[in-house]
Amino acid sequence: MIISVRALVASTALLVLIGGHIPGLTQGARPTAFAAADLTDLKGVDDLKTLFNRDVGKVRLVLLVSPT
Amino acid sequence: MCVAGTRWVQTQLLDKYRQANLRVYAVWFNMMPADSRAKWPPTLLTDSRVVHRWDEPKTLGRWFAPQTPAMRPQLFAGSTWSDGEILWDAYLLYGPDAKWNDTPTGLIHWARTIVAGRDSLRDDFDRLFGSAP
Repeated sequence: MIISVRALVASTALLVLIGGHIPGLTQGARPTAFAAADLTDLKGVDDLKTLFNRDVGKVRLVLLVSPT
Repeated sequence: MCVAGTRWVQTQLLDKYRQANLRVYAVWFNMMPADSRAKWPPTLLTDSRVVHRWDEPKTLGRWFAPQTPAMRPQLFAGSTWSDGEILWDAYLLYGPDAKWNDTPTGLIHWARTIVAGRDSLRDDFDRLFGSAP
């Protein structure tokens, strides 16, 4: 009986772990929401200027925002 | 308010225009008392076309503010901007031919706040990329 309970606990834990990583398995999961975004320090106006000119040919949207 | 605006950009523009040839520069800085780098919301703008920068001294906001008189013709009419020292909670949309020498060229529209200007921004996306499905 003890073995059965342990097996049940282990199986449940495994399902929880897998469910958190398989899109659609967990109801309401939005895997894109966990895409890793990277925040780096702006190195002056020239930093944005360089990015801006590197991306000529694309429509560009600048957002000036605070985090709350 | 910035959170609502950036969330709207992700869900109503970036999620709907997944194939658009677009780059977004999200420049974050402190403006409200509760703001800090630690409060940066990494799950808010997750699109791979977004580049995030933290601007502790508010360099960009301070740089763009004095440029705004020259940008008045492109300001969305519903905006709330009264020539402050720091431009924030704002967007600036540039066309594909825009280049930045002394100042950026090719400004299509800008607005403050992002939420206040969202109709204009959505209309510009529809015009530039075709209506979203």
